Amino acid sequence: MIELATRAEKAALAVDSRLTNSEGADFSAFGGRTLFANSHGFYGEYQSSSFSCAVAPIAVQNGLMQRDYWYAVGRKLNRLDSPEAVGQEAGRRTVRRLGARKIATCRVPVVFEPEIAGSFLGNLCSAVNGYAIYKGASYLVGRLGERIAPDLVTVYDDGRMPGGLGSKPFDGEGLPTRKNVVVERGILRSYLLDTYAARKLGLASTGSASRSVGEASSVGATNFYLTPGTATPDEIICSVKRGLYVTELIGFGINMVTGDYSRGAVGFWIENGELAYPVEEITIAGNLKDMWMGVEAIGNDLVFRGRIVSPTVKIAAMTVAGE
Amino acid sequence: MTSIRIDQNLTSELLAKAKRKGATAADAVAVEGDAASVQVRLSVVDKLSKAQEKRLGLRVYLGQRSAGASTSDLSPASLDELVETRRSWKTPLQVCPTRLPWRRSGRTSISMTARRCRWTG
Repeated sequence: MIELATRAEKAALAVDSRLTNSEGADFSAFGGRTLFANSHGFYGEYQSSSFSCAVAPIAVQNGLMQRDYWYAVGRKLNRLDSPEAVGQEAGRRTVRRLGARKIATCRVPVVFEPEIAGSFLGNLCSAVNGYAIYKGASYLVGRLGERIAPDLVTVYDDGRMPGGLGSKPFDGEGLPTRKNVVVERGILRSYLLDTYAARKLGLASTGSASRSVGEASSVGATNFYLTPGTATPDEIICSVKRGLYVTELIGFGINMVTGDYSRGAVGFWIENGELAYPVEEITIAGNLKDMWMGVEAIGNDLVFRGRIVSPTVKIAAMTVAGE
Repeated sequence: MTSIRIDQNLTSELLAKAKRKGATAADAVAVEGDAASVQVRLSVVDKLSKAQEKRLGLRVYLGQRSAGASTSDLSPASLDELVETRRSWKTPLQVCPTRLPWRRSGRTSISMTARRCRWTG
């Protein structure tokens, strides 16, 4: 493991001579067994594993530093991206941020790279959590069966995906996991529920109970994903005359009750369909309801590198606050 | 760490004990895991860590109420105590957060959470 982490870091620093420092490289491995039994006669157990490799290099140019990171995570060691591949991507992502500028405040199309789109999808996952729903603490309360996004948006939570990081045969209450349709062609079809939240809402559990030892049940995503579209990420960027490509979000400026959204961002300015230069010290703002209704394009680049994942997403317009 | 294996025999015995003590229903969750990680910075090892975990939790239901406790000590005496945490769960409405039945001796800890509680005391 020490060798794998060292190889990843070396590969990152070798990408460019301006990569002169590093926050470090991590490698971790986990193997375990989970079992559940109840007095109704259910007994089940399963094994799980995970491996991850991450690198965070630092680049310096004209006395200004930038850092970014990259990682690989998976159930099987032999399917994990090589340490060299992880390191090279971490190096590439860090160097491309050098020379970041500020931009003027504007209202433009915004493209989320997959990591960021995954965080945006995570906000949807929180909004359909049965506990937020029965408490009346989500902007999606009472919206089942209604349109919350355009036709191109379909979201699943699939607990049965082979090799999925969130896959498991049964949930935290012993109910079989399944593939839940959360959003179907833009229509909100289901919340995520355990039996407690379901009973509060007069609905049935969706097999989404998550359980920690000794704790009461809660709701958790299994493999929660936005289905990919047909456009490549380049084609999506090409469709933007002037706009923002987001590669990092900072802070927690989200109000789940109203959907208000405001977060610090880092990324690239898009000019005439191309990434023109890196930008920083900006804030993007909107409302989750409008952002989802404004999804204009979804990329074909879905990779399951977590439990909540998305391909590239383009949103028609957001307020980008700069200088 | 105890070498007692968590299996169906152990959980069914635990669940039966909880029922005998008056629970209307009960469930048991257990996790066992081995984790290892390394952090390297500028080709020098910064941190190495290895962890083993074995933990068993019991949740009991009394009508519409529930309470749970967990332990990493799987000895029969400890599991009796786990079920006996019911002294609190049978009347979980009287549990005070500052007086939860917290025990800590060596590697053993028993903690408890309850749902639909009203704090008193």
